[in-house]
Amino acid sequence: MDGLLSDRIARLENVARRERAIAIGLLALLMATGQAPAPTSSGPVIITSSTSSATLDSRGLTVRDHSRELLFAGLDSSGKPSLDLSDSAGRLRESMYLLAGNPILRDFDAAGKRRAEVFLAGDSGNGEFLIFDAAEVRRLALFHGSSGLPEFALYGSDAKVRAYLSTDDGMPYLGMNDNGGATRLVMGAYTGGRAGMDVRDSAGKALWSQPK
Amino acid sequence: MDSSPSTDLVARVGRLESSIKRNRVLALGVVLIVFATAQASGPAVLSTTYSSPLIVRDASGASATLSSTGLTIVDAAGKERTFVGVDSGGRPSLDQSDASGRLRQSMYLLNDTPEFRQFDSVGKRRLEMSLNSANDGQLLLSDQNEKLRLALFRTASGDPQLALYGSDEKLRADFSTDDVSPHLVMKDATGATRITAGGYKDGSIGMDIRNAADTVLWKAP
Repeated sequence: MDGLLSDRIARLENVARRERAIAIGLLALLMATGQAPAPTSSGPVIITSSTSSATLDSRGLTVRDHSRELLFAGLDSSGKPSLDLSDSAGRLRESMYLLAGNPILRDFDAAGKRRAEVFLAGDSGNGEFLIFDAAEVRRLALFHGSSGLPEFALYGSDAKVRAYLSTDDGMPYLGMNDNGGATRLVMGAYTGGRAGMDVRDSAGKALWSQPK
Repeated sequence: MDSSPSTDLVARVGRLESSIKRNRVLALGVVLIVFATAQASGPAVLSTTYSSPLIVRDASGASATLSSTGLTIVDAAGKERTFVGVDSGGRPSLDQSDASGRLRQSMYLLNDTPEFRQFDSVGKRRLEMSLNSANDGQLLLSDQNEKLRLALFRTASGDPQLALYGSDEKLRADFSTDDVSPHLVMKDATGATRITAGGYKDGSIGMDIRNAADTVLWKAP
């Protein structure tokens, strides 16, 4: 009887050892492959690799290449929705954001100068497209003028308008100015609904005009 | 009470056997759960898979939510201000909204074609940059009634053109060029051409002024 019991106990001990080993193996498998619970975090979540890192915090997502910020999408330090793209030197080169609530997309050169932008004007909501030179002077614009009329304008390096093409609901008109700001050539709508063109001197005197 | 050592042993062994059977059933259950839910670990340095959105909050109540469709940023007032990802229509999209939660700027693929739009504070589309159905780039400015007033685009024949429109959305002026010569055309509210300068269809270059009845008032050369 004792011998029989001893055999049964020995078998049980073997089974217990085997199942303990299985339990440990399962635990290891769970640790290695189990899904993390859906977390709510108060601190940033950072994912790193040998070349870059991405940080997700309550304000948005920032991607860095070593110490340089290359991309940001979220709410900036002023609370503006913003998408910022920076070059390999970490300089901001393109930004799409809401400035005082109004949408704007800006491109910057390597010196940090604003060179092109599209936006809606804050007061009217009218769209504008602007091109600037290296000194950040406006040289070309597509926009709605103060009276809401669509306009194409070219500017000198002094930021003064040299040529403009615009229209109201009647007829369009084209104007060309000299560097003194005087209009030297006009083409298009004249008062009374007639169409014509004239060339003027710098004092504004008509030198030639048609039709007579 | 009659209790011999052998009887105690038999009882204890019996309990042990029952316990092992029970544990075996439990272990099998765990195995099933593991195989039903386990995921292989990724090759990246750090790879974590979440079965539901990851939410990061700060003390103000602002939050960033990373879900399977993208990243959503909500401000402290609870308004969605930024979305980057794939929108409800399956389009890759970047959306920015103002403090009232109104969409003001969006960059996305519309029917797989790139599109950038800006909206005013009442939701009207006022500026648009995109590729059209012919894959030509265009810039469009619209007024507060969403009527097209200015356009930079390529015509059906591929010529680049700047066009101005009245509040009736009818063409008033176009400045364009083909491979021969550029031209400027000005029209009145009825659509009649009143001034032409530049290349004519016959290949000549000049300019003319007409009245509303299309009578030439002056022409040169």
